[in-house]
Amino acid sequence: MSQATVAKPVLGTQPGKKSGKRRSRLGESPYHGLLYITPWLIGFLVFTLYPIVASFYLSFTKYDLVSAPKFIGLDNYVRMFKDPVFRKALTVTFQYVIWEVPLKLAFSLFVAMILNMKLRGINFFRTAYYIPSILGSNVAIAVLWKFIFQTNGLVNQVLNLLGMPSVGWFGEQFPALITIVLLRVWEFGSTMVIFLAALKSLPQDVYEAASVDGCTKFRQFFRITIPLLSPTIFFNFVMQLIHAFQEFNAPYLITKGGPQKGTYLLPILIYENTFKYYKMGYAAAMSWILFIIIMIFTAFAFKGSKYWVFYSDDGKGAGEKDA
Amino acid sequence: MKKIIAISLAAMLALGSFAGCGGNAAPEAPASSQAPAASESSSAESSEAVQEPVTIRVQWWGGDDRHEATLKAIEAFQKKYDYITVEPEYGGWDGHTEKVNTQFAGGTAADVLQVNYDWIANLSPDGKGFLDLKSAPEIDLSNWDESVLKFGYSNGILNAIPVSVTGRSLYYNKSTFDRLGVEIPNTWDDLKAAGAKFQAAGENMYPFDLDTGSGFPAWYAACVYEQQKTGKQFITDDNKLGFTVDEIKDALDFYMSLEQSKAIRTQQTRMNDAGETALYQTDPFISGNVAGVLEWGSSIGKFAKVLTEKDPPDELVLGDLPVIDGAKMNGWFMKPSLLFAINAKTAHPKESALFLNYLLNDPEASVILGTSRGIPSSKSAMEALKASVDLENDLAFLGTEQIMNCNPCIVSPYMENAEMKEAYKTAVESVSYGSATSQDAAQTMFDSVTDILAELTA
Amino acid sequence: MRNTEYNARTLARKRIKSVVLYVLLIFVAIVMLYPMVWLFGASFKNNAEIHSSIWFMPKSFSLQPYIDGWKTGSQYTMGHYFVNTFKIVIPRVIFTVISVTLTAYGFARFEFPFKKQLFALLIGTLLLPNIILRIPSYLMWNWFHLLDTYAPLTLPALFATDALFVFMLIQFFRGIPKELDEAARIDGCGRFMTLIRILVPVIKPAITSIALFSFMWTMNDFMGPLIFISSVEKYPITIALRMSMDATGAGYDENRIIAMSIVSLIPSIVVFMCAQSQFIDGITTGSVKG
Repeated sequence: MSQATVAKPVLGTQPGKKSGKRRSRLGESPYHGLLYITPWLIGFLVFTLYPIVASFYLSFTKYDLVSAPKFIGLDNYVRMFKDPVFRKALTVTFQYVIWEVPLKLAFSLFVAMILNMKLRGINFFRTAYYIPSILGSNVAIAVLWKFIFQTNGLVNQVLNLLGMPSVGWFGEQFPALITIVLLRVWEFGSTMVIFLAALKSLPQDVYEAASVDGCTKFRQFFRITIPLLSPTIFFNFVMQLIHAFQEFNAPYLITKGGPQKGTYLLPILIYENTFKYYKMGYAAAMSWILFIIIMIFTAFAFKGSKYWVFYSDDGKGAGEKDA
Repeated sequence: MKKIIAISLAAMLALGSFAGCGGNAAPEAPASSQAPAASESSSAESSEAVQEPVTIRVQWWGGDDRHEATLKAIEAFQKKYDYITVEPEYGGWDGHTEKVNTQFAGGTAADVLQVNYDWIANLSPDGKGFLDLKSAPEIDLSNWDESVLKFGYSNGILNAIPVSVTGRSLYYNKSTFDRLGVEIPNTWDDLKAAGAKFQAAGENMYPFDLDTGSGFPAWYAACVYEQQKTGKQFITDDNKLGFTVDEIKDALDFYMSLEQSKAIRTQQTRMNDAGETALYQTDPFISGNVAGVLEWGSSIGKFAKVLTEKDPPDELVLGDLPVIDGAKMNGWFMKPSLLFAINAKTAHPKESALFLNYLLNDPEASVILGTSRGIPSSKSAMEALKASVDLENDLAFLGTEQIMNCNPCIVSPYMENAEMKEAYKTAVESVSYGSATSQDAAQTMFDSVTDILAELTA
Repeated sequence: MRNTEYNARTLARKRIKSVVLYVLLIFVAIVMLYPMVWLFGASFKNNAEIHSSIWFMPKSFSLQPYIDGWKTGSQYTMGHYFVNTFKIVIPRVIFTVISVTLTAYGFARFEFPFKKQLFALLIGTLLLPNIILRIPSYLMWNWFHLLDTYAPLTLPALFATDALFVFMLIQFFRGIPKELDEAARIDGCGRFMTLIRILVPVIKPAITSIALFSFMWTMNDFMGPLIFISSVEKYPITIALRMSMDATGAGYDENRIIAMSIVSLIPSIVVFMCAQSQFIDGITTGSVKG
């Protein structure tokens, strides 16, 4: 039960001194681990590195896909900061991230907690709740979203029933953005499954000990579940952050970036520059700016995780305490 | 070390892969085939000489009808020229541009390609991305008027041949107009007057729509009006902006007058009604409440289809092209709906040209293909087709004929450029939403269009 | 006596609670499931009906859309494209599970030089938008002379290129106390056997979900095959589905596409239903004893 207070928060990338000693005690070569990551390292060098380096190089060129790229130095980067469309796309992207990430995380965690209970018919609910994620970008999604949010659509009819006025969902910038956020929250299945997998891996004996100690369900949630789940919450948070910054399909499917560029996320701008405007150099430059933005956020997330993410592998896990 | 790798990779990139996509491979290929081509093509048909087997790749996008018809035509072609194998590469429209662009970047595009109008300027800005079709004697160019062929030029080189031409016309849901007892409009003023009559019948009733989902019809209509009024082309023959700021403003004001007279919905209403969904997939159109559309003749079929599927069905009819009093020109546009081109890098220019000629001109192929790519612009194909099918009641045919006979303006290859479309859309949205005055919107559009054109034609 | 009364009261309270819970669960289930139901109904409608009503019930039923859709307008039937999809999906899932588990184990349980930098690199590969990498990777596979094969879609999975999954498994490994593997090693288990015998069973739910995601996302992948595969013969189902959709043309029967998209969802649904029993198994095997 006191696992949370005992466990020491340490980042995955930081070698704990203690465990280092233990390793040498068992007489292990420092290169043993490299063996395990060799496949990834080869894959990185052979398949991943080149496209990344190429896109970096292209960001300093003018490249129209058909003639050879022409080196133009920092022009693309300079141009970006004068481009009102880029600024608009950046603002909208931040707006989207701020809404989508917490909403989806909270919803997935909440539903995962419920679906983790031993209830009759729970298998059916689990499958049902995952269906939207299976649908993905199915052709039907755009049609359905139209029915739900159009002028006399489902949502407005419900609002009217409750005595509230209709909302013009697609015609105004912010409501249109919300329809996209809702689509992604609705497709919460994958995030939920990860939470569910983590909940299933939690050591049950800690809960048993807690119940014996007379700990309420509510306190159990905050003092046991959340700390034990924190590596997964952190993972989902980082992944949602990265995905939200790179969101493309949902707005492209439903609003095409409109109205008045109110849902024009940065990846749409990058896509249109690459495949429609034949300005791949400019698109590459914008991608690298997006890269840097995501990197800053991710780095902060990792730094911050020291204060709230608890890893059981730090030598002082629940298991050891029990033993 | 890292730096060295990065720099050498960059150098590799710059020298090797990307440079290969230019036109430098192009000149050799046609040159080698030119001289013997004429004699060989005749020998091929009589099949006296034993030919080396040749495989050519042919790429197109489309729906099931087009796929089935083209596959049949390929089969017939292969029977005729048994040494040529045609490998079909086809798919839907979704993602097709991305695929072709990527293949062009990699220098791996097919030999014969169905191309969209704006691709010529994008993929072959110097005219060397596609084969010079004037150098291919296998293709009987006498089947087209020079006025049709001129859509296929890039930098003075004939890069592509239009399969069919098209233009936007006004189509109306006759059943709704009949129900309300309103005459089908003949002029812009009729259309505006119809707006008031429709409003009287219901708040959500409109006689017309400028479907923004599929492109830039709002600006298209405004632009036609302004061309009629001023006699100037929006984009001139030497690819410059023909309108002044004031003329753009006047065009935008005209668009607003359509909104204000309730002839069309405001941008906001249209978005609220169905987002970015194409008009023919939305309830207002299917129900008949929005009873008209400005659409390409080549794609009006799907609008007519949903209306006939209703129970009871509604009838879609072709309306007159409105022209203002004292118009200085007709102002309506014509463009190719589809073109065919041959990749400049093809290893088999002769066989590719043979196939292209078969597809576009051969009477047998014309009957097999029917109207799966629109109303053919090739004279021989049209003759063969007219003998085999009745087109008199075909809406696409009527629309195409109307445009061809109205002394239309030519859609500049840059008019449909994606960035240009963005500029029109921004201007129309900002006047419609009232986020800018028409003067400011016109200025912004003028500036961006001037910049884009300068960059494209540089 | 008092005791039974107390029990009855808590029982009643529990029952009310569970009724509320079920009402809530069912309501959300409807929100989640309705699109699927509507989609099924839409597969029997004509275009006008599809786009004018959110009500799922079609006016009439006919299997024709399924028959026509299965035939397709191409030289092959949908069955052919299904087989193609599995030729991509099955290797990909197997490759991913193996390579990702090994790599994540390496990062989570070992110390080695430059670990910190390599981990940053791993995460770094996730940060660049995919769109911009498409053309360069196409050029790269062109050099390898592997365009129009399934290699660009399957081979990288053998090398744990799905960094997201690696990161995910690292997090799961790190949730397991190290004492568990150390105890195993003292018992004479090698590091590899420790992974297989001790750790993998503990994180089985996570590995299952990786397999599940890999399956689902590869099934749904459109852009990858679109760019790398040019022969119709080799198209997977996602491309085949859109083959008759031509927004620029004269229109098409949408019910056929909807019918086939429903058929194409079946494998994913079946796989999910099978996989979720793993989450239940997790209760017993996932319990960690020190």
